[in-house]
Amino acid sequence: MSAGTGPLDAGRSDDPVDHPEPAGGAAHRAARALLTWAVRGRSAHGTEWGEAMLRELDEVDGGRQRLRWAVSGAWTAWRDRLRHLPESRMIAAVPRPLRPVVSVLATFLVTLGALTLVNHVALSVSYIPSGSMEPTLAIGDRVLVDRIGFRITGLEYGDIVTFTRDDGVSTDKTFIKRVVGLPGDVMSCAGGHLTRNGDPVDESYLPAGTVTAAGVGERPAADCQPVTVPDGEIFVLGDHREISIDSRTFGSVREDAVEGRVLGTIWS
Amino acid sequence: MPRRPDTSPQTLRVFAALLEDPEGWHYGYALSKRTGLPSGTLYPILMRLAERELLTTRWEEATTPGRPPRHAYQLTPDGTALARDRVAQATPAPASRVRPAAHPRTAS
Repeated sequence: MSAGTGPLDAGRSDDPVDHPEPAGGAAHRAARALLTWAVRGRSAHGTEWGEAMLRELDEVDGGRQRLRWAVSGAWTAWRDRLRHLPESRMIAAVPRPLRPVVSVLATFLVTLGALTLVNHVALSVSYIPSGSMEPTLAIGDRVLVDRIGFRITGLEYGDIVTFTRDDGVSTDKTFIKRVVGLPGDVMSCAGGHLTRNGDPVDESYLPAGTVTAAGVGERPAADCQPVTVPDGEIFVLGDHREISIDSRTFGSVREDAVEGRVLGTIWS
Repeated sequence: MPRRPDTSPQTLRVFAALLEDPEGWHYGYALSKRTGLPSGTLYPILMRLAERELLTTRWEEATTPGRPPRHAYQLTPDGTALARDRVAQATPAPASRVRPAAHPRTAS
């Protein structure tokens, strides 16, 4: 509350509460601003009772009393204003007994829409259909995929990403693999261990004793020969090296085919 | 037993203040001073009474030229009867509980 201080008038110093405050006093202005907002909001006029309270504020003696008047009346005035707001035509069109049902349905639909939007734009949950990322991700795991953040931070070695490519059956089949090479890197798996630019890659996410051999499929074992990752592309491998079909088989992947980066497993 | 309507101490104070001049027109701030009730308690009571037509309201031209009109309240005959009844039934007499205003003001 305001201290109710008024003009420094020695003759009134024995009466600290009820002496009148000049019309422009801070307490009066604060009181008027608060009550005006409660009564009128953005309109030019409030309700009959709100305007009545606002008008009486001029009659109240003293800054502290004015603040008390405004603070106490603001809630009453605000409720009275809301009570008099016209119902929107959409709400008015719904029969009163059905309004709770419509309200619940509308909430449900809006929430569903918002979640769908978030799901497509920002975050989504993906189901892991294959064992190519085992043991990190098992078949049937659900992972949370960030679809925006990686575009800002860029990709790093070890990130697990989802991307689409034409696998001969579908033009945009979704894959989930680990990023092991970035543009300009020279990748090789000669000797059963992955090397990048000639240095062995620390792949602590793999089970001990994992051998990284040539890829499966129609490509020959020569895939373990050094290969340079082109600009704008990434080299990806599945953690389950024996069965994963990945960059050893289909080569590096365009960065703009990446749809998201896996943040973690939601449930397995 | 359900509480009788219009017997809360606050409502009784408002009735008592209005009955001091049953025919007269009263202003909000004067009633607030007379009853000791803050605006947030007084106005909801006045609003309920006016809604039930126990109280008439009107905008009254200000005596000082240039000031906006003031909202004023007067008991209707029904309101006067109810107020008298409620005040009379209250024990102890609520009139004794009404804080006398330091500077009585009657709106007229």
